[in-house]
Amino acid sequence: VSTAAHLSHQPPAGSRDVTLLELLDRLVDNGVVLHGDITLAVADIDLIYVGLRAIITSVSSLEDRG
Amino acid sequence: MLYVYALAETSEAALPPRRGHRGAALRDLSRDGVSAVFTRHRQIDLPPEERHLWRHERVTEALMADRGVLPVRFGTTVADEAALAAMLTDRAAEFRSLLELVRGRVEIGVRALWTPPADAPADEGAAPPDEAEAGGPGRAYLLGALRATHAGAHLADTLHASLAEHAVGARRRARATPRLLLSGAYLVERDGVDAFLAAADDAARAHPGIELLCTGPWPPHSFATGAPEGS
Repeated sequence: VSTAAHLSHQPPAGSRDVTLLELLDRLVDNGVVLHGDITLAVADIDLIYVGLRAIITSVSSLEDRG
Repeated sequence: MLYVYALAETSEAALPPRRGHRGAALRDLSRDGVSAVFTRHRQIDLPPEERHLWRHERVTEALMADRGVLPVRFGTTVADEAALAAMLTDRAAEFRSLLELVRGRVEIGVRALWTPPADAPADEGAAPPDEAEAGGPGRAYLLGALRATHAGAHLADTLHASLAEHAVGARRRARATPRLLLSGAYLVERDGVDAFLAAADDAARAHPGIELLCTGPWPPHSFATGAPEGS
């Protein structure tokens, strides 16, 4: 992944965080499920999401055009 | 113990010169035209930290450069080569048809942020003033919020449909917050990314108050399972 937020007219301050959130959505919620053991602890994932959602929310408010 | 990154079309090409988790060398194992790419570890139990997520992602992206790939969910481990081979053999037909779908294509992530109209300006003349007053300000507020929710859902459907028109596959996630109107994944031809982004920009401009955040190109994470979710 090389780019984020191609379309916003000015790159949002938090585009890196948006990219990370998108990465997390993909890697832990998508992809082939083999019948292996998924080693992730659900609590770990929830913590990351909580942190990221908070960041995204604040980025959103920064982006509001005055 | 094997940590699996992705399934790929079996290829003549060598594995990319990348290292996996903890610097381990990439290996592959192939059955019926499908290769699993993995690293070997005595024991591995990775927390979903940023660096580990990106390591998994970078391996998958490197593979995608010259072959079709199906990313495997982060944290997937298999006991040994025999177990991995059995899984590939059991599900080879499923994996081959998914690989067929994603070959030469990439995934674009789209998040649409929406600023709902501050207060649905009462349709002039349409809303009898006494209706709102009858139930007091609470009722008027709730009606306004309900209208915004309906408007948002409709707008999300419209936007998703117009993005899907420019893609060969489309998936959307549940709407998370009133502000996040749409979170979707769109499968597009590798050389059609710019055209998709231009179309997305047009679609966004057609709806005031919408701002798009596009990411990618990603490996086709959201298209690595057969069952469409939501769309």
